[in-house]
Amino acid sequence: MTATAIPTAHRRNRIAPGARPGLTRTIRVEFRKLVDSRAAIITALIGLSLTATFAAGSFFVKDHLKLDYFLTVTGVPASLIILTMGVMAITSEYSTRAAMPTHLLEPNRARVLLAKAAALVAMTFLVNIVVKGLGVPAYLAGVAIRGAEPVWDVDWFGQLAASAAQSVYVLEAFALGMVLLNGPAAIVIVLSETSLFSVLRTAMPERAEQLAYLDPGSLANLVENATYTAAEWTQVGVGLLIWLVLPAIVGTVRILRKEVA
Amino acid sequence: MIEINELTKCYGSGPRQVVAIDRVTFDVEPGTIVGFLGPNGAGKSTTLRILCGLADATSGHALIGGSPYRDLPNPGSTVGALLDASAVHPGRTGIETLKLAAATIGVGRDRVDTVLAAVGLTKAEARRRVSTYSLGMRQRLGIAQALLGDPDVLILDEPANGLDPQGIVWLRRLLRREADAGRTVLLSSHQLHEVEEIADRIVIVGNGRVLAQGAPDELTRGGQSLEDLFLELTINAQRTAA
Repeated sequence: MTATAIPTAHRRNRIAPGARPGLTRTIRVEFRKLVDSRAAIITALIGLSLTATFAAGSFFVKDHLKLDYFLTVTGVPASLIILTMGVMAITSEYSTRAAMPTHLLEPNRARVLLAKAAALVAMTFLVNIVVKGLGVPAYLAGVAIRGAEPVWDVDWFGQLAASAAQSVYVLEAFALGMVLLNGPAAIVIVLSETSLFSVLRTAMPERAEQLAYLDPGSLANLVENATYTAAEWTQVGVGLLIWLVLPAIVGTVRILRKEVA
Repeated sequence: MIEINELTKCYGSGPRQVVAIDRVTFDVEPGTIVGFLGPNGAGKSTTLRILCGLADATSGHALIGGSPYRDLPNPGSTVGALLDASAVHPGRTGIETLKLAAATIGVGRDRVDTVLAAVGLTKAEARRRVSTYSLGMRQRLGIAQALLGDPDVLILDEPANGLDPQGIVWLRRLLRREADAGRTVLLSSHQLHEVEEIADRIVIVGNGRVLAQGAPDELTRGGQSLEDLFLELTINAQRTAA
């Protein structure tokens, strides 16, 4: 064979075969993949314009607008956009078949899923920091335009808890995306599940207590009520089992066993 | 070095079981180019997917440098694989696709420029979204990505699809240079003329089995042309299957 005749020194530009990439490197790559496609850029622009609309609109709703309320309202569009991002983080890999190059470079699929989850949580907090950070000067400007006095009573713990709850919802969206591997279906379910449960509560008020255990919105209610009772925590726990833990297990098994083609 | 030994893949079970590849066995030595030749549906892509850890074998094994693909510490720096040029996010630009791969492998930005130049994609083309690319441009982008980590082994599934005649000549010269530099090159094709001029060895598969393998002059020793041999073998294999 000719192989033995070729000295290794003849090889040009040899890059030492690197060690296994660290998890932070994989997380950075997955974070970047959340925002570097055309779809992601369009989604971000829609989120931005909706946020601006919500910000402007909130000044017409109330005369004495509190900063806390303003920050909560202007955070709504971003929270919905982030949910679609959670779904698409996994479904777009399979619909565009970009999963193939991804797993050629990182064959450990569980590691890629973990990195995606971490990137989504980081993205949720980053978006919240940016939206709220821009929200404060926007609020001051709005108050000044209306000739009102600013009301500075922000419940920062509540805002932080809401961001944390949001990152849980993003992970739920991601898990559902893994199970279905169908972006449109998963996005419709994620965005309509809360309204579905409010319809169910109205339709069967006598079952309200049982429904609260199944309702993915229990977590949002927990944060909003800020009473943190044991009963509420139990509801949240059962809800997390149904909407996060089970889909995450089923989805991970599905992706690990899937033939990437 | 690529070693494929008794590799078998079955889909389904019981009476509906389909054998996609059946005890496929061949090696690719460093410094050589092996052409993996067979008609559509012969099992070439299935073999390459298993070799690259994207699918599991039912039995047998496929090793690169003595280890399964999934055990390679940083596969992009050992193996440059292009299994499907269309399997790329169309909403990203070509250069962004390469930057993501470079970040995953852990090589610098300069490698991105080097491989773009090596495959003949201009800066302006690289800044366009992949959705605007022709198949030939996607092949070039995929080959660029395969070269990014300066790997010892190249595995390319139908890389000539969509390339124009100049592109095919370019690819042939590129792969010859890589092999002459000591790299192990495995490329598949369903077109005989794409591989006969470039491959040091040819492995002919049909209906999931290796039908013949050897250097082109060994295969034609019986006085039969390579084309006649290829057609006879693959048509016979299809007849036996039916």
